[in-house]
Amino acid sequence: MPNTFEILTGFLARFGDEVEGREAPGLPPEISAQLRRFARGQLTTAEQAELIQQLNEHPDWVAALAAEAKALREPDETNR
Amino acid sequence: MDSSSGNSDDENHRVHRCLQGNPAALAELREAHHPSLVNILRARGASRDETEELLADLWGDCVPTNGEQPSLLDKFSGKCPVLGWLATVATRRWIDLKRKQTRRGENVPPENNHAAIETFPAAALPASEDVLVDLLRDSLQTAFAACPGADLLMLRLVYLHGLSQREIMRMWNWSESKVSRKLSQAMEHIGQDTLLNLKRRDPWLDLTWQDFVDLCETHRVGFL
Repeated sequence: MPNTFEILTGFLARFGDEVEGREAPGLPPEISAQLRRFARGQLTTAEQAELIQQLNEHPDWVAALAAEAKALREPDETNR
Repeated sequence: MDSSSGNSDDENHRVHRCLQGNPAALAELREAHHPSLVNILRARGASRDETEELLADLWGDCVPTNGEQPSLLDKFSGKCPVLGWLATVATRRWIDLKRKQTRRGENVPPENNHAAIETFPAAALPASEDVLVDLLRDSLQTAFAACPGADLLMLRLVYLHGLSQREIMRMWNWSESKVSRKLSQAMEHIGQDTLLNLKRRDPWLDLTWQDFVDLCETHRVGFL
């Protein structure tokens, strides 16, 4: 059963201009590094704000950020 | 029960029999869903007369006419519950009707507009394919655009990519309760803004947030 946000973004993906879900091909290296630092909670507030703005302009990069955060999971977290 | 669509095997079989022109099956379908459809349309703002006329047309269109016109049910994909599908068709037709009335500058008393509806027989009501989709999409997109970027990102990470609130907590250096509160508030604001945008566009339409989400889901899974 999809959650409400999934339903809404799924609707926009089909009928609007929402693009999400696939990992972005050719992510710029400086962005990759920033995403890794964000996932680890190492960005300053200003850096975070700037990166969030870029992520909203490139929603296809969000999957890469999620992957960075998941890579930090302990083995027992991964199996949950 | 087919869990992917929410339809029982009986329901799918009944729709199949309707498509073969079985009058008993159509009567069963009508008996099963007519009262709910009345309630749904009335709750969404349709007058009693509008509801009766719309549903009379709807059920009429479910009857196949010997090769001249296929049953409306021909367009049912089976990917969502049949009640949700019928409610979506009826809502779309009703929005189309109200928009036409508005364009014509009709000012019809809510409970006395039988004559106005009579001027829009089913055949003249193609219910433009996108009238409801446009309304849902525009209302939602405007709400998403008004949502702070950080909130939207957090919602995406949790609800689309499966990150835990603990992981979000680590990324933002926040407490778990602050993350939880932020997620709830962000969803609440999107819901409120969406319904406000919708109301600005079509003030006569009364959708609850659950109605809105259900309509999006019906379209998302493949309305037709």
